[in-house]
Amino acid sequence: MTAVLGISALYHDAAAALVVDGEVVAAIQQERLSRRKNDASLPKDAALACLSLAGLSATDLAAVVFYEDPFARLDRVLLSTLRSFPRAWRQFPHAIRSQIGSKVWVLDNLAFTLGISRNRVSTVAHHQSHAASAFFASAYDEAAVLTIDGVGESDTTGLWMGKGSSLECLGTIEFPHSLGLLYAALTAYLGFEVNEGEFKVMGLAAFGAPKYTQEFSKLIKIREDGSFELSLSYFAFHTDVDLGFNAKLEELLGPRRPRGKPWDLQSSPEDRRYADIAATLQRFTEDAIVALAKAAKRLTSSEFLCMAGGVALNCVANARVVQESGFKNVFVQPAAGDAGGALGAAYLGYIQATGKRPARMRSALLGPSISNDKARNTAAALGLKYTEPSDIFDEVAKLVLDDKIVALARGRVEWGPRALGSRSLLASPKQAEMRDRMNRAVKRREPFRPFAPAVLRSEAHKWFDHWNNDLSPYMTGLAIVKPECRAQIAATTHVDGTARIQTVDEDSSPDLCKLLQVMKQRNEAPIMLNTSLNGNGEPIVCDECDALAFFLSHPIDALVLEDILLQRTSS
Amino acid sequence: MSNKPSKLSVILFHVATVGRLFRYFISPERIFMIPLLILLLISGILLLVTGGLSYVAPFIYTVF
Amino acid sequence: MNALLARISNPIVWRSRHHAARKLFEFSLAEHGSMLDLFAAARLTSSADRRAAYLRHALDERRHAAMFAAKSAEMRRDSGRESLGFPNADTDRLFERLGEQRFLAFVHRGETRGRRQFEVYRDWFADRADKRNRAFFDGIIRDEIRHESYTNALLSELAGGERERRAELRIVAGWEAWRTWRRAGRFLAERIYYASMVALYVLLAPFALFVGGVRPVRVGWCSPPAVCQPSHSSLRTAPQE
Repeated sequence: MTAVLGISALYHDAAAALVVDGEVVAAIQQERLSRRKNDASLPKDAALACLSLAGLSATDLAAVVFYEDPFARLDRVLLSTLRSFPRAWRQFPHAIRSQIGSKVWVLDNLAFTLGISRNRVSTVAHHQSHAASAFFASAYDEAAVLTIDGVGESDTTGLWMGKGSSLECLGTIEFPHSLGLLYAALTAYLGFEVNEGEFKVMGLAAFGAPKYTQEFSKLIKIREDGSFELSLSYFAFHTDVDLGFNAKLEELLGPRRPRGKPWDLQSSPEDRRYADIAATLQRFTEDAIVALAKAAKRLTSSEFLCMAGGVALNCVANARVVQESGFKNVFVQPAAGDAGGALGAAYLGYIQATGKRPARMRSALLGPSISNDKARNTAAALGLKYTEPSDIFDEVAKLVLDDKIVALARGRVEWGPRALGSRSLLASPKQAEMRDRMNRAVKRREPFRPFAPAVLRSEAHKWFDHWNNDLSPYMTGLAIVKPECRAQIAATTHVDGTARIQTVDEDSSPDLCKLLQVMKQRNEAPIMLNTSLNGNGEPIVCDECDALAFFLSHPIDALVLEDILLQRTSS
Repeated sequence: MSNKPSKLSVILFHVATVGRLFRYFISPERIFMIPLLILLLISGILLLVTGGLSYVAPFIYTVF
Repeated sequence: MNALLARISNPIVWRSRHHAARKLFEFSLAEHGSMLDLFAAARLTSSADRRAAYLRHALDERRHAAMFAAKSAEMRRDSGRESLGFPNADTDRLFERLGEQRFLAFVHRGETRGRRQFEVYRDWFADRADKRNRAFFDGIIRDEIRHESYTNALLSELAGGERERRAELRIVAGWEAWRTWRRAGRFLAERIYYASMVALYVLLAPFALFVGGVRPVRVGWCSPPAVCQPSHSSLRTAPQE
């Protein structure tokens, strides 16, 4: 038996992933267990949970692989400190404290935490772990791989060729020229939190028009070879890690939006202007990603493309890549951000140990599951009444068709930021009012945020165009809702007619598949509004306690916790 | 899970890491940063004293 | 002691909206951290009844965190400043570190201390006929009293009697005092650290002078890093800046 544990930590989204004899047996983000959003601390809980799911202990591991090289990262931090001298004097103590205080010792700390020999702990390069997380999880024997993020050790973009069990780097783009940092800086400019607000900016973009092309042309240039270049004088990646931009950018685009101010796109011209800026940012980012993808096609002549890195979670851009880059199909692994680095590190460690390619990812349901006993005991101790219907899927379908909001917590937790039917809030997609209710009362988030539809894969063609690709099972792409269908699924049709679709089948999401089949049997469209089971600022629910806490504190109508059903009226 | 490692083994491991760190920086493109690295590692001693506790801790409501 | 210090510091804390908003945001962080530790306790305890108690407590802490953060944002808005954002605290892994009994003792002491401190603030606003802020703290105090009470009861039950309960509280008091001492030391050491690092930064000037020549910023496609072994690459390294 060869078991390899991959770890990502210390920057964003700490995670652990376990590959045993070539199969991913567990992969968990630390935030799901610690309940701390985007928890970046060393993922001790996630690592132990992975081992427990596999019935292993740390001493059974052949290797523990960390997803990036801490020395190379320190090198880049020192370098950018020197390059930005003397402007970075405020950031310098924080940066050094972060590196020398904890990050350079991460491999030692991993060995201590897991109780294993230091010799068994190793590293791989950051973008290499991203590339591995996408390519080896895919079904492609050969593919081009693009990795695009904020920054790893010193690279922000990587172009790779994957063949069998090998992954070869063809070129990189170096810090500070970074699409991820560009998007993050504008996310902060628009008043959102960095590393959380990027999805909001993507949703906001559909409410604006790309009117600021002249201004953005000053910020980023796409070169003929498909690479890009930022005008660094507008940015402050070295000197202001919170904002990432400086006064020159505000002179160009206008004053930044204050953090925490409520949005009013209907009646505020200022907010509509910010939406236009979001739309322009989105357009330029898409153009840059498509240019990179076209370069990948030219250089590799491959039929397939895999993408990873935080920027690969931009599903709007991914849809354009599918349409315009010339690849036959495109795959993005569901945890494309830094959490996915843990999976890539585990894959690379496995290949290093055995020389064999790991098996592809068949499902994203890789986390801990719910215990019926614990669910019953805890619900009873909380004074909550529950039932155990013989056909829970039929009950849920009835509730959804009755315009109720149902939380579903069954089976293993999803890997990645999207809920795929294991920890989901489900509702009818028909009425726009459902979207408003979900945004305002349940998720408590900005009113412009869209919701995604989950649809039976076999029926998707009746409702959507441009859905049939390797992105749709994991909600990493975009479909167009057929114009004649938009009024029928108004809650999951975004203002521009698109939907971040999830196509559902038996393999990818068995419970959601059963639910949608029940809908079909009832002569209803096999589509549901599917959003993640979490409140504002919280990680997605993981276990029984989290789910019951959510039920107690949010105005939803029902909760399915494995085989038990709790309803608001009977609580 | 594991027994907490002894302070001595922690120190020995970290010393070995410092050795690896220096070997990494001994390359043509990085060697000029070695004096800087030495200064920073010395400043790391201050970090030993400052590390660990946060001001805003659970169940602690700061007065000032 | 905390209540006494709170009484003394009231005029300083509440006179300036700016300082008050920051203080309230710190409270929201403390509540958020408490919530995380209570969720962890719910996950780790073996008793369903205690799990339920910790969950309800955690939800109260979450609500308090949101209340403090909202109040802080309101004060900041009134003085023309943007909000300090959402609380996202660290966790101290208290349940794991202390074990369930001592964790309960720690929480009980924390709730008692918090309740007394908030009573001082409530009285401060009551003396100034500020009904809104008084009611705000009243709401929180009601919850703290409930938390004090159930943690006390659970601690008695787990410890196995009044004498044992007092012993646990004494041990935790000692541990907290040591941590407070270390926290004060850290406060001082941090200031020395930052001052030293700013001074050290000045010494970087000579390194900064020739870094541009030795390691210039590279634009466009660059050669792959040494870890990757390219068999072919038609990418040309872009001209150096």
